[in-house]
Amino acid sequence: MVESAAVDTEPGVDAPTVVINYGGDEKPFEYDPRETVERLIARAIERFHLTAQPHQLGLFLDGAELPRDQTLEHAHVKPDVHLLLKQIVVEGG
Amino acid sequence: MGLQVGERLLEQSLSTMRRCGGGRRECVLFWAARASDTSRVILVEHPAHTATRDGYSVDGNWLTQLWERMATDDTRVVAQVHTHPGVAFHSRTDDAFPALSTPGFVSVVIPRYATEDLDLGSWFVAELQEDGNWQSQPPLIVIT
Repeated sequence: MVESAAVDTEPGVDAPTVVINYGGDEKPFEYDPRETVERLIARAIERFHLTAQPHQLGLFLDGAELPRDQTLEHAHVKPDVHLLLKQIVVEGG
Repeated sequence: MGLQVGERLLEQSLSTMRRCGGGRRECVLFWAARASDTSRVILVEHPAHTATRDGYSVDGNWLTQLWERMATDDTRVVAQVHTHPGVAFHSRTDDAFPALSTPGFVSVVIPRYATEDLDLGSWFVAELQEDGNWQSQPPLIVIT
């Protein structure tokens, strides 16, 4: 079996789409199945206009955090699913 | 223009934090608004959290459920509010681990576990800036 390499480019025309929810705000994202979870988080930070660093945020599918070094394909992200972007740690003191 | 909060919601917030913290532990809650008017607080959310005398941590699963509900209800968290044992200020932990990292998000710290009567002058209120820093510049809260 040949493993597909992670890509670092923008998804092309007719790329599949997922919806990302950040704090209740939902936006559609075209994606390339070969891009990493980390890369999609970075794009979401830009699109939602967030000040957080990528390592402070996690992308969740059905309550489980997606491994950030995996490609979306290997993380079992399918077209049209709803992903949740949230701070990994919320605390104060 | 500051965040508009009704006096009843303010009293509800103080009452919740007093009851939860018992004058011995910190407490945290969120103020939410309609997505179409994020300047007016319309409800208080009290998250599942753990707390000590000088810190708190919000339950991640609870937060997941809140974000899903807010997408359905078209509401948004516009501020986080938490108590301190002593004076109100923003700690490094408060700076680094807010519930949201959207510029304009407001953080409120209430002194002495919110055991005192409503006194905005003793509160610390800051707003997240585009550069990721928090800036305290009154009036960020307006009682309506």
